[in-house]
Amino acid sequence: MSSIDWIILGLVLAFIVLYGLAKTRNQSGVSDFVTGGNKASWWTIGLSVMATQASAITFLSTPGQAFHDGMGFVQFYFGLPIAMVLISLFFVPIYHRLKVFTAYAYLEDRFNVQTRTLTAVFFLIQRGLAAGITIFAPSIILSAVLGWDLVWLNILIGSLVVVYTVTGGTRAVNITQKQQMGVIFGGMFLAFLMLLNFLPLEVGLEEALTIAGAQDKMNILDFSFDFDNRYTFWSGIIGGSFLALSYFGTDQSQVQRYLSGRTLRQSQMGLIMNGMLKVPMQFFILLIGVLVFVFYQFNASPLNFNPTNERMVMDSPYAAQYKVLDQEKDLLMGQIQTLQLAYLDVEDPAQKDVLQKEISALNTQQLSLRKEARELILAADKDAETNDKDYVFIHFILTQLPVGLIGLLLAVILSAAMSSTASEINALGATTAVDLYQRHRPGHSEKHYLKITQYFTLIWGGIAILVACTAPLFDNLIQLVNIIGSIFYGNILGVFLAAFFIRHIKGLSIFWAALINQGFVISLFVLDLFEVIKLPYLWLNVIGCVAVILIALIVQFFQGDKD
Amino acid sequence: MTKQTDPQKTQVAEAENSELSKSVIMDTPEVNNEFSKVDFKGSKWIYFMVIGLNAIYILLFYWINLLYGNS
Repeated sequence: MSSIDWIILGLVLAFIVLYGLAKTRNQSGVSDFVTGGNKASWWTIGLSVMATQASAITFLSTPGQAFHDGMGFVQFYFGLPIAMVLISLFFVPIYHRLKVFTAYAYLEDRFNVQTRTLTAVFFLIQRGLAAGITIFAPSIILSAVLGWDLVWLNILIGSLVVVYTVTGGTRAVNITQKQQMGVIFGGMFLAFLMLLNFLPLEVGLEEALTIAGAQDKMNILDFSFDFDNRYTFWSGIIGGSFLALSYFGTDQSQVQRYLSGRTLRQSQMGLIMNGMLKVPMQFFILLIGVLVFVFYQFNASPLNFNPTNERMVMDSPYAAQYKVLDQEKDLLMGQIQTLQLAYLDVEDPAQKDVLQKEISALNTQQLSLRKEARELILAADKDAETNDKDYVFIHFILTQLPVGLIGLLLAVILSAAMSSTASEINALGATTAVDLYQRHRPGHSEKHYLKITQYFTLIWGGIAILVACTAPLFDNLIQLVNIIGSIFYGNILGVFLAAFFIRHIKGLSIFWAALINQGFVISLFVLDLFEVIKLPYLWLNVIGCVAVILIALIVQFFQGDKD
Repeated sequence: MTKQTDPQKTQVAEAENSELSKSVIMDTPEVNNEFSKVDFKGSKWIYFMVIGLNAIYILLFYWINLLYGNS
């Protein structure tokens, strides 16, 4: 990386952190710290909600997802706008009316302190783990491609966030997220323009989409009820709605964003802004991944995008075999390039069809070579992670973008990591302080509770860094975060829905139902993991939500009208 | 100490509630006297707009799928 890139990266990050610190030094109390003094406008909330959800994983993993599997992942977000409307109509007015600091405080009003504590603890477990992964995901990738030390990178990202989140609370998170979203949108748009510019002269956007479509990358919608396929229209609309309803309606890292709204209306409008922009934003990020695929139809790409794997196998006894595969791949690439240009030239549909089949066959051969390469990597090191989805986009950034833009794109990735981590540790600190400490140790001064909230924020920052330093690399990082969420979210959402709409259910029955149901959902996940049953993880949200209500109704039936 | 008690903020919120609840109010099962009603706050058009806009996105994706998709 050149010194100009370092300077740009350093300046962007330093400006965001220092600006956040300078603007939010003085906190008057817990209210100021947790809800930012209720001063946020709708567009600040909207950007903050979007920045919280869009972590670095979004920008590293999503283009890689499109590169390998096409645009179908966008269906995952189809339920989100429905959830935004429902939350604006039902959840936000109640939170505002009750003037709660956390979503779980409402459950004490409705049920009892045990249910409030239990849901707060569920949130702390899943969000504590997710916060670690939010830091770890970009760190592992950047350390592999740039040679930076993984542990120090985890500590750097975590510490930068902790500095302004501990001192400035929610207001600092909101302010910095506006700058971060500016950097993210600007950087991604520039990457998109550069990609179009790097394609051969004959290839514009339309031709690029034709090439991608011919190789199955533009199959956006899948209306089948196929449980083997994680992302279909139906799983997106139904499972995605439940996941988004739960995440945005009951996860404190999101609830805290819109509780900072100046008025109820501002909070609702912030969520609606997210509902309008999220699907096109994800489509755009996936489109970048598809354009990267088209780019590598005309340019050389490595057999495995993870440079650590390539270095490792080249230092092993399998280096000669790997080189042979690499040469075969280069030959194939040359043929693919020639045929792709011919495909664009011909007008006759029959000829086009023949060429398309030839290109597909060559791409299939290329995939087989990549599979063989992965086997060699595994032979060289049986613990190596051969899945290189998360490395595709960063490889493109580092090898193709000009000096200056590399620094900016790295700033995009680190900004995204910081923005979501900040919301997470901000919410973890607030929930621990308000729902656990303050609720069970009342009677201290406002100053004391403010200090405690800041201490807990600091502790959760430390825990997140610790989790990041010990986290292993899973199949796909963005999926891992969603899987952890899906295990807990359905259950928590069911508790909230019962609270809002089923007056018959009382505190004790919902408490036991939530406990039993969490065990049930974890069992289903484990059964799927060991392939005893087939259940895509998005459906855990639906099952968890419905099951907790059913169990609570049954327990309540046996309890009678007692609470 | 679990709730904010700033009277000014409460007044702002209440004024807003009163203004907004002029629009449609939907009764839900009474769960507690304090929050027995869920209001369809403010202008409803914004909610229809967000769903409508996303329906247009999906139609657009369907069209792109038809043009460039392979399924």
